[in-house]
Amino acid sequence: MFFQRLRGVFSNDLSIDLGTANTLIYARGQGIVLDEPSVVAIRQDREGGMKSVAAVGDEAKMMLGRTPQNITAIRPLKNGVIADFTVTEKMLQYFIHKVHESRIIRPSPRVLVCVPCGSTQVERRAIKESAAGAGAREVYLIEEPMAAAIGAGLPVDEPRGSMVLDIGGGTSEVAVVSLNGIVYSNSVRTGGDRFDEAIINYVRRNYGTLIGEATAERIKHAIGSAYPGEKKQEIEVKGRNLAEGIPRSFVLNSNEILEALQEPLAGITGAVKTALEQTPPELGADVAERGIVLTGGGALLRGLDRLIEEETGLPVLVADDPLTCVARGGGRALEMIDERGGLDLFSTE
Amino acid sequence: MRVVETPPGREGPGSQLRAKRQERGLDLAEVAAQLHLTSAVIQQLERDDYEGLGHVFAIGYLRNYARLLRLDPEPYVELYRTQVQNVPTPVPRPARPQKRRPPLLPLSGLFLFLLVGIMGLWYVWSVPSPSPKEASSLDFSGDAPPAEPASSVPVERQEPAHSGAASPPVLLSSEPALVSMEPEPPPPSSSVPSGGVLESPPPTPAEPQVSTESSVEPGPTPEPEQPASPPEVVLEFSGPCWVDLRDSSRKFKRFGEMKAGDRLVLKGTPPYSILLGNAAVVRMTIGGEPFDLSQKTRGNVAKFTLNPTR
Repeated sequence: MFFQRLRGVFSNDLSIDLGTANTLIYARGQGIVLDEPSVVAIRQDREGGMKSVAAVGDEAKMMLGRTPQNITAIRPLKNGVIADFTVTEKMLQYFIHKVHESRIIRPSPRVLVCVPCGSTQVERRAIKESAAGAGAREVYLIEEPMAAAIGAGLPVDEPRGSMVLDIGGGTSEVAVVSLNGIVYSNSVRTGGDRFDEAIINYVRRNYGTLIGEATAERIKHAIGSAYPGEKKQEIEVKGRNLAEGIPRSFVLNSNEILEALQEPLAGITGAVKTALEQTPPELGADVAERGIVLTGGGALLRGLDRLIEEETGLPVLVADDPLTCVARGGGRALEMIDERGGLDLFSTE
Repeated sequence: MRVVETPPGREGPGSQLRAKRQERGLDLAEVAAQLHLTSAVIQQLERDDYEGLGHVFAIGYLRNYARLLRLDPEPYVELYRTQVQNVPTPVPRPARPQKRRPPLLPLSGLFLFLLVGIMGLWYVWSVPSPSPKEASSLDFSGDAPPAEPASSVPVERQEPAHSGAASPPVLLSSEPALVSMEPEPPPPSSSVPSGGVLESPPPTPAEPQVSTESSVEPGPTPEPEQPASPPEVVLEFSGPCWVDLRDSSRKFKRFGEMKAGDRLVLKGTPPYSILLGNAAVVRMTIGGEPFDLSQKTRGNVAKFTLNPTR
């Protein structure tokens, strides 16, 4: 206990956005210090032999879908919650060490981790224990939409409703925030990963060709859009033709991807509409007056703001630097703990 | 209500947008309806009065407004930031914290210094007959302590040094066959620009006379340096384009989408592997000369390998 406190003196407070696709770490006073994919490559040389970590983060992501038999690259988080406890712990350990590199003493920081608002007690406990196992001295949890709202710069402490839609890798969270608290929140298990899956399925159905997750993600980044744009964009991709069994290349355009993404996008707009229905009228009026703020990597999908604007008839804005909103908001919340013991922000376990 | 005072000659983003709107002949109510905002809010924006809106919303509205008028929203957002928010430019992702190093730096520096000192002493003792040249090579190894090849260089260099050649410290290539070809007049045949400076070749110990000659005449030495700096390859983007650029040494890599107005200079060693997702918006020049991408383009995607030295 004493040693842990001593080690804490040499560590920074961290806010971790433990996402399905990417993990971001914000260190107090330094900003975003780490932004890596949540992927771990595990090596097991013999059957029943010792498992060891071969790579974490960017390096491991490159291995995804390209590993030999003795290595497995896995994503330890699914739908925003932990799917593989030990691997998540190892990954967090690696990331915490990475932001404290050049230290002799093992770091033991205070850590704030963001959790999806739809996660259960069991899932929250798993995240808490995994962070503690990775060396954290104290672990706080905050609900993701709250962190996203703070990070986007919304006036969360005012008696005024603000709606935030955070589209992450595994989940999309929509919440109405007022007076430092969440009035309504909902989480749907539709996010960037579902977009990739939809693209894979579309290509298989229409081109009879199988593409991998990495290729699907590349297509999404390059030409993915949620609303028809002015220009048609194209990309050349390669995949294995199911009939011939041979890799073939073909050209996809942005309109086809738009068609492919219809189903997951409908899930997100549906969640926003439900949230607007369930919001108390006063707060609903505030939201209608000022608009919905988009955060998370999904907000970078072209035309998503237009789509939600058309569907709801409300103004929709994309926050500045949407990818880092949650981590930055968590960092701000950590500062609030010291300023005024802002514990009302945090979810109990 | 507080109206932001704008410096003379520079209008606020809102009034600039109003001018653009009037140029297009758009009605205020029409704009308000399309942006799903009230006319009052639009009027407030156009007056550059952002009181009570909050920075997030003001920026968001300006961005949407500019996009509605088919303008690039970034200049207006930038203007808002400098004039209203008084933030020079947002730094969304500060670089990795380099400044946190100091606590360990003095210690590791001392350790490194000691290590270098011990290695230096060991080197001095292990050489049987110290001569002035060796002293200079010792300095050389002291200059770059962490690099391993540096410490191995003086050992290999010992023999030519004994032969009496007063040559400056050179970087040796590990292939004697390739090196022995180089003194001949047409050197660019073996153009292996490895980033480092290829100077006069190291002589084989069997013929010390050649070594003195090659090290004395400085004439041919600048020649092999020419291919070390390939012509500059510049890519200019006039629209969004997804790119994947790599060089052969895998040191330079660019992967992702470029925006309109971006300019990219290829670094690293040629040949480069180039992939442009939207080749129509890319203008490529090699050493100032425009390069025709249309031959390499198929379905608006250009993928090819480029060696600008040819």
